[in-house]
Amino acid sequence: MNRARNNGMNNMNGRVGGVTNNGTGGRTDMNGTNYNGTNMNGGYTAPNGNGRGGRNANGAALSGSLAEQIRALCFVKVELELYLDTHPRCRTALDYYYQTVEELKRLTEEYENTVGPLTAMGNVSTDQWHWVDGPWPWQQAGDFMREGDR
Amino acid sequence: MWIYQKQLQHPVKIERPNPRLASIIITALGGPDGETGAAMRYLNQRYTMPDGKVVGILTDVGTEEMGHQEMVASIVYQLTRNLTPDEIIAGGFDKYYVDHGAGIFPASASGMPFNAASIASKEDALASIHEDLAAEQKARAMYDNILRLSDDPDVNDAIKFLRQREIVHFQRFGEAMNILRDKNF
Ligand SMILES: [Fe+2]
Repeated sequence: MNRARNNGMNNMNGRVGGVTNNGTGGRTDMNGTNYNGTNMNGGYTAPNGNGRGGRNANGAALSGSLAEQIRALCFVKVELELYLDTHPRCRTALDYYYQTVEELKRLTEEYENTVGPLTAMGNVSTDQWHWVDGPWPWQQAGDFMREGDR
Repeated sequence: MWIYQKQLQHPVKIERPNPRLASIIITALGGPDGETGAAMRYLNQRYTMPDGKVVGILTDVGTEEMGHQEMVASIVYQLTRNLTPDEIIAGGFDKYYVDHGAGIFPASASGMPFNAASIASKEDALASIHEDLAAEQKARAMYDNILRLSDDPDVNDAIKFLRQREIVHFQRFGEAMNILRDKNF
């Protein structure tokens, strides 16, 4: 415990193992907050993988599986929603938001037609309720129901 | 109302079970600075908040915190898969296990069930937003402590993401406070 405590003392500048205290653009300090807001120019790029044609709002190709591309765009969408809540007149953020939502709609449709429903309403099959099919988000491959006795 | 999306906000893919880490990380779900409290705090504070922008940020951050509850629960779930009784005892997970098995229960690392006494909600708008600013810093500090205690890269990847979200939320709540001040609250 002593080591953890010392570590804490050395980390008063907000670093833990290389994690900086900076959020997305917003600098935090003990005086409260800065009000400069988020840098809207940093297009989010998903981890590498096989490309499926998604694009971010800067027009750059997204990489990763379809699910990863959707997750990346959902993150951009959430981040922009929070930003727009406190900056409802920011033109740049609004444009970025609508481009992100358009792209997200397109990829969601592709996902639900080829993989499965992302929301219950996205169950496109007319003969089966695939919403209940695994895997659920916390499950790993081959993990639909837990095996083994406990 | 809410609509559920069948996807985590950030991937949780943990290779190695680790009951000791699970018994620590459960506090990020049900502890005093955990995600359950975060969601409850913001979503309940909305009703008497006197400015639409601030209601919006409480709604959207509160909703994101529900997604974080799911991420933390997924971490604990994956850390406790297929454990033997010996591993449970050696990892110090026995006190949790005897009550819940490997089921997910919102409690602190010391075993205290989630307690709404760790959150605050007041009609006074500035008091509530100050509570929220402090809550985000406390959650960030809690994630710092988890990162000091964990050397599992799969766990740390998800924890670093959650930690960074607290900083963004703090920023947005700071802007919400300025909005309230501009309206002389
Ligand atoms: Fe938060």
